[in-house]
Amino acid sequence: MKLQRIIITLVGVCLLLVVSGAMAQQDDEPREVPLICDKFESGSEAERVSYYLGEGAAYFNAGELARANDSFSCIVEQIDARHALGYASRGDVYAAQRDYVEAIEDYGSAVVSDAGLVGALNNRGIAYAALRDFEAALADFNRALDAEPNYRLARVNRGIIQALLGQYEAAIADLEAAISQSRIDVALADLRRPDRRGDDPYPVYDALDAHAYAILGMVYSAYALDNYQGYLLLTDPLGDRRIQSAAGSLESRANFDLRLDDISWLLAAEFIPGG
Amino acid sequence: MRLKVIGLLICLLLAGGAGRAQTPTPDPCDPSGDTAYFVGIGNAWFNAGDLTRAITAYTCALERDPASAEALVRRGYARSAQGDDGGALADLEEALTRDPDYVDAYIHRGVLYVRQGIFALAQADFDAALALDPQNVVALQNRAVAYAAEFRYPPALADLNAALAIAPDDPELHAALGAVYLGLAAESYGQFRALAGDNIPITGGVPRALYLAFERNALTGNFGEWLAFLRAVED
Repeated sequence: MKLQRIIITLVGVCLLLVVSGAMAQQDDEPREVPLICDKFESGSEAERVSYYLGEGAAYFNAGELARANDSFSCIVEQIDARHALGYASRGDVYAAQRDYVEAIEDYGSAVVSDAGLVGALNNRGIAYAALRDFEAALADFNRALDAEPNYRLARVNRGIIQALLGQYEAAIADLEAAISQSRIDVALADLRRPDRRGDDPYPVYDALDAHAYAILGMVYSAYALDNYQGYLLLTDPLGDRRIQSAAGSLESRANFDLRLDDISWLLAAEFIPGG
Repeated sequence: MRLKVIGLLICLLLAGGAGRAQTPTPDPCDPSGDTAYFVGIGNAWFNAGDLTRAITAYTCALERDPASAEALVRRGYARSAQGDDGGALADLEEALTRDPDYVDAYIHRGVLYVRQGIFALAQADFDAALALDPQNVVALQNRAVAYAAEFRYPPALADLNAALAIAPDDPELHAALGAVYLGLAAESYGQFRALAGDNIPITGGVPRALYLAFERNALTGNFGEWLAFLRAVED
């Protein structure tokens, strides 16, 4: 299960690399040589699948996306045409190659083979979002959460999509639920406790769960900007200058301070996929 | 709208972060992986040129199954490529203890012996590989190199011609054959010079650099030029 989670969540780094353009490379070329899947040929089907999962994960991690694609293709094209994790993993490769249409198809095959593979639903939701099909993305995150209500990753992603669709209150509810589920709010309350002493034990938490707070802040900013813009539209051109200034500040921050091509965001990424 | 687009990009980035939050730094020997999984990881890292990670993965495979000849051979080969001849030899010998019919293990060990200049042991390993798999082109080529490194050109030619009969379009075989002919050329030229004396012109048209390299080998006993013609087992 841990292995599955590691492989499926590769999409996080896929998108990171895609957007940064640092490593991902388009590879739409048809296969020039036939797919050769002769490793562990005398072994069991399970062994062969296991081999190509490992090989594909390491190639992916090495940035050799075409080879990773071949490894996962060996699983679904030559060993087990219904192997959900094989499809989901190849979907991650396609996503890294910016081929979201193929990625969506593979995630779909994964879900058909294993309806409980919520990671594939989550990742397909992200691929839909990359294609700006927010409704389809929302539907996938909904399905993932129906299957696994405590799946925080999908809950945070659904919050993001809801915010993009202007459904700020629903977004805030999801993000707060994710915070509550992770119990990082308990850790925060402990750190903020007025009587906390310097030698008190530091609370145990996964610092990466703090991302939900960052996203929540951004959603509140977007919500605030939406309201400011509503006010300014209604009062144009006589709107209060302080609100004009606050709206300009928020818009400027969204345009510059939090830009994706700001390398500081990339440096914050510490994902180390399996393999 | 622009804000929304930027928002999407930022949020997707952070969503990646949320994914990372659920993914702890993995144990290199993730308990859910089995032997085949780690051999797969090792092979990919080896092919990607990261020998250290490859060796780590093979070691994980061996933690799962200490008797895995496949993992031992692959780790031995990776250690050899990293210059750890002692570790490589230990792995290959252990692999052959586990599986005396493992052809690639003999070939890898034979290559290791050639690199160390222990040609008799190398030839014995290639003999063993060919006894198990008489059509093995890589073993034939490497045995030819082991012969040639000792100036035993006729058996080298015989092995290369046998290999070419099996794989006539294999470019590496033709390169090795050319090298053997150059070795023969150097030998003949040396005999000519011994008979005619030192003050003679170099024959026109001879590829002088390579020719002289082989001539130096003959004089110093340095077989280094031949190592380029050794061949790895194809992955």
